[in-house]
Amino acid sequence: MTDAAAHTDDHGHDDHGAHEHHGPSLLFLAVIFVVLMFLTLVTVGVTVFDFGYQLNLVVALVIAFVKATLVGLYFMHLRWDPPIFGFTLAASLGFVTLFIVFSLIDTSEVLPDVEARAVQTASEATGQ
Amino acid sequence: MTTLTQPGVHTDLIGKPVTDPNRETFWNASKGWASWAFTLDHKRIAVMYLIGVLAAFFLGGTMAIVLRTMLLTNSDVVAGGLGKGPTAVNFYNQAFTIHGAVMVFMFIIPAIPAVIGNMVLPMQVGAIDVAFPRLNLMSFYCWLVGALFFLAVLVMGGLDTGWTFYTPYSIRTSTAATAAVLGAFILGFSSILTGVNFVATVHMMRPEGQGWFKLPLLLWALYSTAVIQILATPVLAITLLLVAAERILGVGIFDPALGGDPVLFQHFFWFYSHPAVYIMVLPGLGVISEIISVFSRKHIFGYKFIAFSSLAIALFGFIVWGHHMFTSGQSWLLNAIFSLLTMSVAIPSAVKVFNWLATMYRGRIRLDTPMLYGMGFIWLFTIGGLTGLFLAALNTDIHFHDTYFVVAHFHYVMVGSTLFAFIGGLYYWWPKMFGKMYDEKWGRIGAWVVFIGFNLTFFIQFLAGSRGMPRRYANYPDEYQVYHHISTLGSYVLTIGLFIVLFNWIHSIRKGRPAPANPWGANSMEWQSLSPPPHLNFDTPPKVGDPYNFDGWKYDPDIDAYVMRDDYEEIMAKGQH
Amino acid sequence: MTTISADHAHGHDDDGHGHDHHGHHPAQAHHFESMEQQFESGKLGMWVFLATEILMFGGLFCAYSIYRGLNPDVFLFAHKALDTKMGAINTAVLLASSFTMAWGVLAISRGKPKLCLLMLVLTFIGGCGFMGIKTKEYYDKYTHAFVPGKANAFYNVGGAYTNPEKLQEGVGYIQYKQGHGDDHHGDDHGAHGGDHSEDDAEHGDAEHENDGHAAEAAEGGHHGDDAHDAGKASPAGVEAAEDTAHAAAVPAAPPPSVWPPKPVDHANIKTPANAAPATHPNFTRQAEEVADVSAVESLYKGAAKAQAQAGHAHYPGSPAELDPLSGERTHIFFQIYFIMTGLHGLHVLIGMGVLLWVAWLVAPHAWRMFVLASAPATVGLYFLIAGYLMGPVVWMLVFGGLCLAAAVAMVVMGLGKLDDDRPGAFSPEYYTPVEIGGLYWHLVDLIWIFLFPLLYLIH
Repeated sequence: MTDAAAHTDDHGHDDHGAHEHHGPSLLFLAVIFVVLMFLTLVTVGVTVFDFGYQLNLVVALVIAFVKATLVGLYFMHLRWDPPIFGFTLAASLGFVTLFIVFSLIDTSEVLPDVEARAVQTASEATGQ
Repeated sequence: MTTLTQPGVHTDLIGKPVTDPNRETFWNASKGWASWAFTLDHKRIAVMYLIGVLAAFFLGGTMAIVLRTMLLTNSDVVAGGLGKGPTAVNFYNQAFTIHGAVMVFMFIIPAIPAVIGNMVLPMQVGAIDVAFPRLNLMSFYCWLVGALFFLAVLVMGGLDTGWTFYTPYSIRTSTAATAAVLGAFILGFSSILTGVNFVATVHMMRPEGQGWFKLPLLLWALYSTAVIQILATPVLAITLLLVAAERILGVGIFDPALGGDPVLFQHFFWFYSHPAVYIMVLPGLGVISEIISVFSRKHIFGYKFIAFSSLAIALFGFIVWGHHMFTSGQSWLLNAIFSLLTMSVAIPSAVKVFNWLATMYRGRIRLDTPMLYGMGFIWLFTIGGLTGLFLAALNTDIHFHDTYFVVAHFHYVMVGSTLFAFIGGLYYWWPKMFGKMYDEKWGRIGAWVVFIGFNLTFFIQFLAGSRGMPRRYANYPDEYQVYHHISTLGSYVLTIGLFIVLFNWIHSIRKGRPAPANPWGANSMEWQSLSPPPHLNFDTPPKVGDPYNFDGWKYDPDIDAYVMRDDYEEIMAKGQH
Repeated sequence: MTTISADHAHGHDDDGHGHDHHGHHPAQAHHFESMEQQFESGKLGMWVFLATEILMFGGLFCAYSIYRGLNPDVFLFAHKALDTKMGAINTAVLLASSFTMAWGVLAISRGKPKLCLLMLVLTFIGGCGFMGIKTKEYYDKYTHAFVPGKANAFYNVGGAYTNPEKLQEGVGYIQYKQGHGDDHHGDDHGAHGGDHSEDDAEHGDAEHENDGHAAEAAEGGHHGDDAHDAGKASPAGVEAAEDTAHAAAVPAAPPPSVWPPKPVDHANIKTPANAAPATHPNFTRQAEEVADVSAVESLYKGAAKAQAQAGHAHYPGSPAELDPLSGERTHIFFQIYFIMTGLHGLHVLIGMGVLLWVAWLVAPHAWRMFVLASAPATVGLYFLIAGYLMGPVVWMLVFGGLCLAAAVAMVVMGLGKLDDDRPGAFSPEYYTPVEIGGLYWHLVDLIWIFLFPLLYLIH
């Protein structure tokens, strides 16, 4: 593999080459950064409003997702990269979601049984 | 020229003898222990992994024989002087734990990907090495360190949690559970690094002309395996870290005494460990796809079905973990969902079996040793798979749960299938790895003895289990004695068979005749290199073709091997239409 | 091997987008055909690795979801022990370091290694800042016994608290913060929480106060039947709470309408935990246990007042206001907090190591010793500052001094190599380590983006 002449025209498999030519400008990165800081302020500031316990969580998560998307797309260059990288990220998030959803379903489903059992045990113990 | 080409002479692809007996191979490309310890060559790493996993298999197998011997009798006196007092029962608990943990984490999971995959995967894409050779070496050392942790566990007072580390017992036990979970954590890293390497290699290193559907099916299987390794293993890592944190720092995420939820541990554990059984069996499915096609001398039937069924198994594997928890206090809703979803795995599994049978149909089947293991695999995988349906069905599982029926089922799929694929695959690629042919007669004898021994050991356990013999018990009522006798007898036969295999391999390294480049007439790219391959895998760039089109090779009785036809490229081009 | 490489290269001749890598870059590994392939492979490998990191943290997010789902009131109450302001500052610090990291990658891809080095150093400093603030937060938690496991201030079984003196202090801390929103740093242990928690929060008075409450507890013991209901009874709070003698009998500040979304009741237990519901004062009336509970509850009356005054009334002000069964799990929040932020902090540390390694590669050879020296310098400064603030702790100061001395020695050595004119390792053709190191750093940032609202901003 020392024959330099053999590589006169070597090239990657796909045409997403030229990674040093694509990508963001500094100004663009700075704008993204400012937006991210602003969103951080928003997510803290919004806590003075109370939309209800569940909705508060939703609001916080939506802001977090927007921030994460900005970081992923522009700081991590997913916007300009081959789609396989973004797909990898999406797949991992998908499997995390799967994991959490199934576990939560189980927990919420089993709750009434356990509660009933706890009450029963307790009343037996106290003789009531 | 032809007078020189006799069996036992290295020959190149067109049957000419390789005259230089000292030609460079990856075995002799560099010398000294450091050239092995710091090697970045995927083939040498595969060899080191082979030695490692065989040692682990020996350790786990020894434990298995100890277990079976203890179960020979239900009285207080056991052959070997082990009574069934509390000491012996504790010993029994530790022995089945070590057997399970060593076999799962140190043998079955790395066996096929790390040995056969490392050896073959880069060559099947015509590459010089995997994408990240340093990570590959690091993977091996992670394995080694994890294995040392398990050896330390043996010294530090054993382990009696079962390989599953269920909480809260694993938090309370006085045995060396901390070292064991950290060891398994490190072994998980080894698995992840292999997976990362394989994904990147298959994606990035393929040569021009080798599209996804020109990949040998082994690579589809290894790729699917790598996906599971990447997506599931980290969950095991965090699970084990939490268990270690509970033992060391007094955290209580899974500890009911601290308000934690032990059933949550089971969700965590099986979110990894159910996909992990497909880490164990998927590479075996890939190996068998290669063997069946080559030894039937017939193009694999339903290539795309087999390829996508590998991916489907990998993905379905993630949505069925709850079937391990039917009796653990999982909610009825989830029980029903998981029971239903578990059935779905049967579809891609059956697709594979039907396609293998269709491949063999009207093929010119050669019952060489790898093929015997391949056919044995189909037999065992079918039994193991169909009995899995009993366990997936909610109502029957309530009866079978924690009985020998389960033991028999997962030994059929994990040991029967994976071990058979591993041994068969090693026989198949043995000439390529070691450059020596093995003794065919003893190879076949060994295959039959292993097959009979295995079925004798485990088939009877289905019956014992369905009649209520619970697993993990050191003792049992009299009526189960006959089952245990037969099973233990079978395990001895199996041991004899495995030693026949081992001696055959050792004998081939010492006395076997030098292997030709392509003894089987296979068409995946690794057979276009000499046996054993040079340090950089190929002296001349391999030609890309349909891996299951065997017309490009013709048998040369002079060297008892296949040589490439002159019009190979035309044949490959024609086959594509 | 020339034949094989020639042929492989030939395979790409016809795809037309001729690229300008003439010759063979010295950084190209032998098993890659081109720099482009090597670069993309490295990135793919890193992304796949990042997927494993996400799954690993995913397990923790799953545990978080489950315990938060089970105990919404616990999370509402206990998260007030965290300092939102510090969390927000840390978010900003990490975002800024992410920005400088992205800037560094941009710089090296345009052939400006010195600018890239500067950005890596700034990113590294960002990491230091994050870990410094994290240390401060951890120290606050540690000194108030907001720790995992049985040592936690809120650890109790059936209402019997194992660390009562820590409990006073911890509750005082939380109530102080609660009474004052997040406007103050949490380090001055709340002296303004309310008439009792004011004192409770002071280290010196804790023991004395505890004695006092023990007496109250004895008094409250005989109307313990009411005590267990304190957390859920009707609004009565403020004026009743003035009266110490009735503290046990009178409900502490109720959690009004908003919290939690549906009646908690004692539905919030899932497992038949060893925490043995049968012994809970809800069900048993054993005097000493009730005494414990009432002692604790009497602590909170000040909190109730402070809470009402501050207008944050919908937060549970004390563990006693929680649903009894989930109140036993107050410490779980801290377990989850420490596990999640601890693992994240570990990733920050690893990321800082990666940054240092990348910076070492980027730097011209003449500067490499200085880059290397920043490692002991950072550790030394860290131990000096932390050792001084915590005590002072002598061994930390000595260790920090030694590290700084090592750093100085390395700088002196570096001064002797200033005439080495070899450039850094990277160029626009090859900067894979900067790129993938950056990806790792951004992932650390991404995870924090989720951790911050989930842990600090519960309301």
